[in-house]
Amino acid sequence: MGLLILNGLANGLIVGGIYALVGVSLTLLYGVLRVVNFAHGEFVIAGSFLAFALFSGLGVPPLLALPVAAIAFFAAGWALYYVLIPRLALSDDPELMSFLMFYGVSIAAAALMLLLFGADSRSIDDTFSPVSVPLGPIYVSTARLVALGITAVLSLALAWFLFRTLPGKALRAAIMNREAIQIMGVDIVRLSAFAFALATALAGVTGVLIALVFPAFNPFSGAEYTIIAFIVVVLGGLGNPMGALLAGVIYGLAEQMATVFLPQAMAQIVGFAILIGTIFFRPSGILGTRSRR
Amino acid sequence: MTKALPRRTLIAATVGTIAVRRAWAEDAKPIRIGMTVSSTGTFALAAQSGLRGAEIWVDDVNSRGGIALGGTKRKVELVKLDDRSDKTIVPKVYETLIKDEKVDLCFGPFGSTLTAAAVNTTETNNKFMVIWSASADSIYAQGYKYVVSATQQAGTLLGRPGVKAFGELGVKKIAFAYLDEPFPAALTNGAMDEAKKLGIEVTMDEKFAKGTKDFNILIQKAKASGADVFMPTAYEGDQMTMARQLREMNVDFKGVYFVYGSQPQFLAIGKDALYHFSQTLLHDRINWKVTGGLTRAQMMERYAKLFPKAPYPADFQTALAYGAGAVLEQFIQEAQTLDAAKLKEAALKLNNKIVTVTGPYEIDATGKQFKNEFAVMQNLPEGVEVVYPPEIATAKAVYPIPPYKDRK
Repeated sequence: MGLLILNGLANGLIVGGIYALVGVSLTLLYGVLRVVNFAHGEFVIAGSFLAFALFSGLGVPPLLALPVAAIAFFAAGWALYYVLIPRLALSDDPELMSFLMFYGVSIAAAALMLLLFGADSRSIDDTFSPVSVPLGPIYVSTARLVALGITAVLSLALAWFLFRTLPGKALRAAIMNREAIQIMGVDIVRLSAFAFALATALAGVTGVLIALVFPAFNPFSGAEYTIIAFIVVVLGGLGNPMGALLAGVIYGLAEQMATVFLPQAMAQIVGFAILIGTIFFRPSGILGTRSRR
Repeated sequence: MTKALPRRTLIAATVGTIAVRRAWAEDAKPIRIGMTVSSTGTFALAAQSGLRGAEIWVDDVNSRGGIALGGTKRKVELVKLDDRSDKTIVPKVYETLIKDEKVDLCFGPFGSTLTAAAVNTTETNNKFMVIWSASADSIYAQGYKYVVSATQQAGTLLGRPGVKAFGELGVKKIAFAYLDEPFPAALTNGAMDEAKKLGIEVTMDEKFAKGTKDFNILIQKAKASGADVFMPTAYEGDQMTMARQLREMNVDFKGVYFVYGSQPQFLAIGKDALYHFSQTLLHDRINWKVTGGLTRAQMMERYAKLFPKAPYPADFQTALAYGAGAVLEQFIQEAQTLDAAKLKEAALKLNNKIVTVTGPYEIDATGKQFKNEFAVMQNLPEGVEVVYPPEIATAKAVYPIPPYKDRK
C-alpha cells in the first residue's frame, strides 16, 4: 500500500500540473473576454497533433516542438480572435453566444483533425533515455518528470508575467474590471487579442506536454480535456489563473489518490464530487472572490 | 467400335446445347439478398468495409456462374439500402427490402445495435438472416428462429482464445481490468469465466471509466495482486497509454494481453509494443485451411482488384462479411431451397464442416457463433506472429516475456 500511495502522490502532482495548465488558459480567456471556449480541448489536442506531425514528418523531438507550438498557436490565436470575437459583440448575450460559437468551432476543429490525421489514436514514438528514474522505491517516467518541470517553469513564468509586467497587470485589471481599464486608456481590443493568443499558445504547449504524459490521442480526445478544464476553472474560481493552477494540482491529486483507495472507476466520481462540493460550499472557487451586487 | 458423329452434326449439337443452357441461365432468376449499409453516421466506415467483403463474395460466386440450386445455377444479387447508422429506421428499411424489393433472404447490417433492430422484421416476415458483425449475446437470447451468426463470435466468447492460450502456457494467475463499456465488459467477463473454468486464479477484476487518462495506479494494483499475466481490455488509445506506462514504470508481468495489440496504430508505439499478446481475425500471418470460399490471400487479391480506390485496406469487417457470404453459399447448396426454416436446418447440419477465411464455423440452435475464434498474436522482434491456436500458429509464444531491464 505504501508504494501505491507514493505512486499516487507522484502521479497526482504530475497529472495535476497538466490539468492546471489545461485550466489556466481557459480561465485566462474567460476572465479577460468573458468567452466560454468550448473548443479549448480541441486546441489542446491540436498541440499534440502538431508535435506528432513535426516528429513523424521532420523528426523534430517533442521538446523542440514546444517553442514551435507556442509561436504557431499564438499567431493562430491572434488571427482567430479577429475572425471570431468581434462578431460576438453584436449579440445581445455575448457570453451565451460565445459558448455556442465555440461549440461549433470544437466540432469543426475535431473534423479538421480527423481529415488530416484520421480517426486512429496516434502517439509519438520518442522516449527519453533513461525511460524512467527511480525515486526512492518507485519509478517515475522521465517524460513525466520533464513535463512536470516544464509545467512548473511555465506556471512561474505566467505568475511573473501576470504580477510583474505591465501587460500582465493590464490583463489582471481587465479580469477585475473591464470598463475601468478602458477609462485608464488601455486598448482593450489589443489586450483581448493578446489574451486570446496567449491562452491559445498555452493550450498548444499543453498539448505537446500531453503527448509526452498521455501518449495516445485522437481527434476526439479534445472533449475530455474541455471537461477537465471547466472543472479546474470552477474549482479555482472563474477567471482566476492562480486559482486554476492550484485547482489543477488538487484535482489531479484527488483523482490519483482516489484510485489508490477506491476502484479505478470511482476516480472520476471523486473529482466531480469535489467540484459539486465546491459549488455548494464555496461557489466562488478556491481562490475566487465573491462578487457583490 | 463406336462410330464418330459427322463433324457438322457435332458442331450443331454443341452450339444448340450452349444456346439452351444460356437461355436457362438467363431465365434463372438471381438470388436476391437484401442488406442495409450505413452511408453516413457512426457505423459508416465499418459498414462499408463489411459491404466490400460481401461484394467480393458476390463477385466470386457470379464469376463461377452462381450457386447451384434446384438443378440450375443462380447468380447472386445484392440489394443494398441506406440505414444512415440509425437504428430507428432499420426495421422500416428491412421491411422495404422484403416487401418492395422482394429479396429472398437478408444479410445483417453492421454491428449489434443495428442488427438487433433488423432481426425482428426479418423474423416476422419469415426471412433468413445471416449476421456477420453482431456480437451481442442478447440478440441470440430472444428465441429468433431464422438467424445465424455466420462468422461473428458472440461477445462473451471473444476473450476466450487469450485465456486458453495462457492456460496452455501454464499461467496460474491473471489480473483483469476493463473499460466500463459493453464490448470490453462482455469480452472480459467471458475471459474471466474461461479462466475460472481452466483453474486459473483471477487476482484482480477492476473496471475503469471512459475518459480515464492515467493507468499508473491500475497497473501497480495488478502487479500487487501477484498476477502472472495482466489483461486490460479497452480501445486502442487506452491500451497504447498502458503499454507505455508499463515500460516507464518498469513493471514486469510474465505476459500482457492487449486486444488491439497487433493493430498498426498500436504497433506505432514502437518498442513499447514488443512481446505483448493480442488477438485478431485478419493478418497476413493468419491462414486457415479454407474449405468454403477464398483464402485470405485470394480475398485480399480480389479486394485490390475490385476496390483499387477504396479509402482503406481490407480489415476484419471485410473478412467477417466475406466469410459470412461464403458460409451462406454452403447453406443454400445444402438446403437446395431459400426457405428460412430449411436454411436454418442446413446451417445446423453444417456445424464444424466449414472453414472460411475467419476460421471454423459452429453455431447452436439460437444461431450464436461459437467458433471463428480470434487468433492470438504476439509482437516478437522479428514481427507479429500467430501463437495460438496451434493449427495456424507461425511461432512459439515467448513466455515469460523478457523483463524491461533485459531489453535493449
